[in-house]
Amino acid sequence: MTSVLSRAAVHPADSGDNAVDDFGEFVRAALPGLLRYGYALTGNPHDGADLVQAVLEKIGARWSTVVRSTGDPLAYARRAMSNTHISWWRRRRKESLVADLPEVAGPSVPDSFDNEPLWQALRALPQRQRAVIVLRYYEGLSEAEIAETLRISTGTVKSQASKAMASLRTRLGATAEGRH
Amino acid sequence: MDDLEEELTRLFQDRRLDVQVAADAEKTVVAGARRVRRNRIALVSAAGVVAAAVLATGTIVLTHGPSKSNQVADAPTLSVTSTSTDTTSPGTTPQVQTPSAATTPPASGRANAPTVMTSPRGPAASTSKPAVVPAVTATVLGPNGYGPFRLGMTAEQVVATGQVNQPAAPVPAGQCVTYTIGGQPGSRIVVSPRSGVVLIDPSIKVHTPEDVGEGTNIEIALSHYRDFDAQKSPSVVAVPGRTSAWYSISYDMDTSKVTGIILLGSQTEC
Repeated sequence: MTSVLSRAAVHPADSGDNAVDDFGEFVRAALPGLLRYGYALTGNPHDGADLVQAVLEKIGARWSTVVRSTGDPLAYARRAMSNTHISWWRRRRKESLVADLPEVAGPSVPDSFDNEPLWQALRALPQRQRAVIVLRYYEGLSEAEIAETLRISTGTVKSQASKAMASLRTRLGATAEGRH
Repeated sequence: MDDLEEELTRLFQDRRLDVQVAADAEKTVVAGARRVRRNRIALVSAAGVVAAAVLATGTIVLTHGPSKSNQVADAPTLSVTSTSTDTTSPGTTPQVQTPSAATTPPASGRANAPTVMTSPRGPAASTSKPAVVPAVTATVLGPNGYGPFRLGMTAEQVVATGQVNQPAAPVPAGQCVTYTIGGQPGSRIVVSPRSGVVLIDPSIKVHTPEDVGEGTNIEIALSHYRDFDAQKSPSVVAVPGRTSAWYSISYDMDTSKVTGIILLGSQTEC
């Protein structure tokens, strides 16, 4: 299949190789996994979908360059999602201090993990800590790989992971005590 | 691996994280990528023309003296518009539709996995219009609005600008609606049913008419806005000359530099 994007390629330097220039094929193959990853990262399937869409649109706009420069657009997409999510969260946190406006003015969506204490504890983590945990236990990345992905030092990865695990243990302990 | 680590690994393998992909999701994303690319190229083209015009002006100044440079200096305004058009025909833009049916991805076997329809970004109606230059080109926020958006505009007026994306989830009647500005992920235009637009956050680097923007020292902000609070970030200040508009100015307490500005209307509606 020739993607719409490849037909619409405008800049000669970014037209790329046809063999790898099929962004549409990439999207079709990668979407289920990326949506799942977005759900894990954001804690919400709808926020996750927004994140996936925003990141893929940017990647698709410079598809050939991404393929050429990264060699692994899927890994690049995941990395971009992690960083974009953190930056969105920073912005939203800033706004939420300004006015009592809802982040998403829509109906609340039932979460199938609502009764999972660990999921709830994860959702309560600051986004960078959550990203570190997701990259470690969802992606199976090493501390060095997480540092590279999030563009932070391995020391920061260790401290963020340590804080996150401590918070999770505390919250899970509190939940367990509450049940007794 | 301790118990918590095992629990985390198990949780992230849970099939409840599987999300059904909407039937037209691929098409929507590809169309969105084309739009982002088109906007980027338009902006780059415009910047290139301005740069070329400046260069040409400079050359003439050097070679022909200043008397003719003024004639050339007028050129960019006209050239920017004419050369920022996309080389792709608007008519070839794929139809962006809200998906109505969902397909189950191979990895998902759960009937109750959440279905997420990736929402169309950018104006769906633009398929029959020329490429719209996004609001990203506007850099001044306030006193009444931003780009084509004005405080108090109704939702219909906001949508009619053709430069917003619809909310990802449907919003019941009577509730506030949050739109994002085309080409500006993370931006927000919040519309109250009663008061219209009550919040504008362009999500890009902007400045007020008083030239207060990202990077401005808070001392300067203080000189322009008497109600600016140098002890509290964000600080909400009245827009000069307006009775129902405010800037919410965030700044870094360590560097004393402004980090972001949002324009607010009525804060009690949403």
